[in-house]
Amino acid sequence: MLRIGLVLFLIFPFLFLLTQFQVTSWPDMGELIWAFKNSFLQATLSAVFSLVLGFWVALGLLALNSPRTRRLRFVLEVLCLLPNFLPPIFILLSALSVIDPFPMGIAGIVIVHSLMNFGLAAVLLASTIETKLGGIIELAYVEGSSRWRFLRQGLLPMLKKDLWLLGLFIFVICFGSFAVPLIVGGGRGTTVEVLIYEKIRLSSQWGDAVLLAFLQSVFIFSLSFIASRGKGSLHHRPANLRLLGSYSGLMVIGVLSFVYLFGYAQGFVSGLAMISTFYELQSALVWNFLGSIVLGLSVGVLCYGGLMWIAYCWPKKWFERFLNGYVAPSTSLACFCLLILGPNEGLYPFLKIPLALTVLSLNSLFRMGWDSELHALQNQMTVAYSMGASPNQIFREVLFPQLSRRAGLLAGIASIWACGDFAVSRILAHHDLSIAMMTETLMSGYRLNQAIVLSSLIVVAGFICFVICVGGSRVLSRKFAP
Amino acid sequence: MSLVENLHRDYGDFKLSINQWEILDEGVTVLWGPSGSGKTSVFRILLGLEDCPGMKWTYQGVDLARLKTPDRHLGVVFQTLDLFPHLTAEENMMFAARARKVDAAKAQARMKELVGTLKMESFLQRPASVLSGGEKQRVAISRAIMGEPRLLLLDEPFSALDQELREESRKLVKNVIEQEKIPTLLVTHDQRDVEVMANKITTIRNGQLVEGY
Amino acid sequence: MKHFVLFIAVVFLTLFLAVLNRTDNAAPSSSLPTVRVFGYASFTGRWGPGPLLKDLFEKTCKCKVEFIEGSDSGILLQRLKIEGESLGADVVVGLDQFDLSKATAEQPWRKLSLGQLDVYDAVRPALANSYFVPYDWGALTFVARRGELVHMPGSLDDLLAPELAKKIALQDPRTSSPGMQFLYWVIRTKGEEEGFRYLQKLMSQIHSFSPTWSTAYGLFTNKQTKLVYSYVTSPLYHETEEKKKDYLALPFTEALPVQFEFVGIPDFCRHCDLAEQFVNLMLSPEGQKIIMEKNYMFPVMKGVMENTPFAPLMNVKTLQQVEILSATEVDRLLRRWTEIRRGELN
Repeated sequence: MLRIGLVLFLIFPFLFLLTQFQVTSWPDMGELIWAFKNSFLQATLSAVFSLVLGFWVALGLLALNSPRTRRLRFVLEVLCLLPNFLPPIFILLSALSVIDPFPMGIAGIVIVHSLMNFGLAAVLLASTIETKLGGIIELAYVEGSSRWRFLRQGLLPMLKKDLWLLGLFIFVICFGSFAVPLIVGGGRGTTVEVLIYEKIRLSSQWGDAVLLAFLQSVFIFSLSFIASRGKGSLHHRPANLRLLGSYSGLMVIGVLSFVYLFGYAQGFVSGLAMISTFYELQSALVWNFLGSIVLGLSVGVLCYGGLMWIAYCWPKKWFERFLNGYVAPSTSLACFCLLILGPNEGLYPFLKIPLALTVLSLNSLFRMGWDSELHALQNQMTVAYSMGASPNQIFREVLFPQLSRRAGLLAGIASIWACGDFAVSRILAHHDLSIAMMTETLMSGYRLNQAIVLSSLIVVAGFICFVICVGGSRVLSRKFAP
Repeated sequence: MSLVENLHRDYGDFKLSINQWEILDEGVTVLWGPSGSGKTSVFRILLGLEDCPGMKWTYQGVDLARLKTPDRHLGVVFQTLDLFPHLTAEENMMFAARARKVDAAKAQARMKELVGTLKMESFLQRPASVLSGGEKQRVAISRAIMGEPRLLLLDEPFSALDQELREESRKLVKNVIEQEKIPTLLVTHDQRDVEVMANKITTIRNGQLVEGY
Repeated sequence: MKHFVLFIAVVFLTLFLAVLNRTDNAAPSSSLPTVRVFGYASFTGRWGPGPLLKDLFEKTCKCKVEFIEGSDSGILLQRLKIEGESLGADVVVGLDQFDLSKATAEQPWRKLSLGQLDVYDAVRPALANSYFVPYDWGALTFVARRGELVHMPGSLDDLLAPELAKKIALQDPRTSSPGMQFLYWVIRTKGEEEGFRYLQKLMSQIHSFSPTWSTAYGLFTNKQTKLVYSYVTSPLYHETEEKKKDYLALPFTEALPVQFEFVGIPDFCRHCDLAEQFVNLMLSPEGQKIIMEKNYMFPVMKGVMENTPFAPLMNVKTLQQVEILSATEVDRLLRRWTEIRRGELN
């Protein structure tokens, strides 16, 4: 029942919109195939390059796995993840000013997407390698295997399934990308997401837009069948990873961070020169900063709840299949669906925005490691189940205490995303509620550099939300420990 | 005597085919076989973790095969032991008692008994994650017994221990099984397990039961 | 445990109430009626004319003004269509001429009776519609940095100069209204067939087609491109706010397209009279001045712009007709544009 509930929660934008709008006509096949081809090509290449760069950077992060270098590694991980959270336009502007001339077309899209996703891939890969293969890496090191040989014959074959899954995750993010393909994609900038937006904005063909989103989801769902989670024992003993660690990976972080940070820093400095424009807005800044934190925390709490909900429903084959293949509906569709549902004033945006952001991000969080976390606990669940423990007892005493910290971490990531969101809030809110929305308003009125300065507050708000989510989950896991 | 009938399952590249198999009502029945012979599959099917349509498992007049896993009321120890690492040894044991809704006072008494028999006093309050292999193994056995199971199912429970510990462990487990009078099915590939523990031996090869071993 | 949960709950609730309460400041107090103005963010936002108009209006109307924001005019219309009466909008601000036919098709509007308006000649064609009245307008052209180009382009054909290869930032007409304006401009100036042939040639000159005006403008101010399609008033912003005189709106031999921004009152308005008063305020000299200075657009009414830095900028040749294209016509043009766009690398 709970499982069905969660599935319905995730697909309700589709279901609801399909009941509201009629599909007027089958979409123009030529256009649709063209858009699918573009989406597919750019997303595939973006995923491949993000994985390759991510893998290299992961080797760099693994070189820093001693207690002495832990702080440095943390800083580098933040640098890696930052482009994933900043508004894409900033990354784009920065990349364009560093890489000159910038190759437009598919190459351009792939560069920007790789820049945005390499770090996420790296951080996730590094942790998978550490927890799954630490022992084997030590063994190979002791037995004198060469790095290259181990990579080719040991690591890559063993990580094959995880790489597939991570690749699919990045593929899904890039497939739904909107602004980047339009700006740097040239003629190939028309993606399915652009078609969906065009259908809504220009021709009000809602039914067709829903149909397109549905086709997109079915497509990705079928792709997910070729990737399933790799097996491997999880262990947390720190291992000696000298065989794999490579300082060249750190160099890659340096270069890529320069590419995305250079223009940002430039804009920041010129924006600072105009800081006086913010003086009259002090109170608005304070309120919107609080607004960002409220939104971030609400999304954090909802995602934490959502992840726990998934854990409670685990394990079930079809349920796992569904979560692996499911793709959140396009942003505009999810938002409009919530717009139609009930009033949009007063309290409601504060309920609807977090709800929309949760629907949109829960699945990404699942793919970002929640699934492997649940797989790792599957044996314990089996034992507890065989012993006759009720689902409630298994959840309360076995799962929750062991999962809370990880859920807090993922919820923290979602809360950072929420702090940076303006697309969802712009549709669902009646006025600027957060710093991200204020940033966007600034940009739409010539004030790009001030927007860049303001966006640094998004990072601060995100950081605060992240810390609260992580800290809160730790306290909860301690307090609720049986 | 409990009777397993029609345990047939086709895994594509491997077939399990057991027409009839008796498991003792008392003492230890050992299912012995080399790796890949199908022991663990049989174990999982008996637990109800894998489907086996058509199978019948009569135990004291009840067909266990018709029941869901929790309702079969079995105690289990897997090869990997699978203690709950965040709980102490004591909490691991009490988890099982709560799962079967064993009366708290009764559970306490039983635990005390088991702690004595299996010599667990020194690490009772330690989290399972920091216990040694031998300690974990004893906690896993007592956790399986705490729920007052009809039958205890052990899958290679000694394989993770070193030689010396294994010998000691076998004796302790044998001891506790005899004391508690719980019929036990032990699945193993280790002949020494058979020598020390078995009251009855069944051999499995290529998914089929064979005479002798 | 309880203490912790209580602590978190209290912190969360306080934050929440604080943020919510702040919106209540703007919300109706007790018995005063509230006029709800629905517009896009840069109009209603803090840097836009909205807040000043609100203050001005509230001084005399014995009412409250509340803004509802939508992201752009396209999304604005969608919300209007979907939410309809429940949106509670009394005034809708920010539709341009490409939105009007869709707006009238999807929604009943209230006839405006504003009497004789003393508007600029360039605005007169936009008054033909009795449901919507323009409150500001802007001519669109290319903006460049002084001294960066050897030959400043002065006509559409000059945009094909090798010096400008991949150096022009445009907006995607499918997602942005200035983008649509450019497409319309080319087609009206050169005729449809010749226009599309010209666009085909122009493709190799374009750095990128951005989804929004702000992105394209950002690319330009970040020196990624040498030209951007924007408003003739854009340089004035930099002069006034940043004290920079580096930017230049280029005069073109072709008459420039004009973007009008319209205000209308939906038929389901709750405070229709107040809504009409608000529209009147927008057209009053004070209102027009605020809109001009905050939106960096020309006022529609005479007598406001004179002796301001805006006045000389208005002396550009603009397209005389204000055509309201039907949705199917817009769709057709975009389809042809997309055809050309395909296969282009940049």
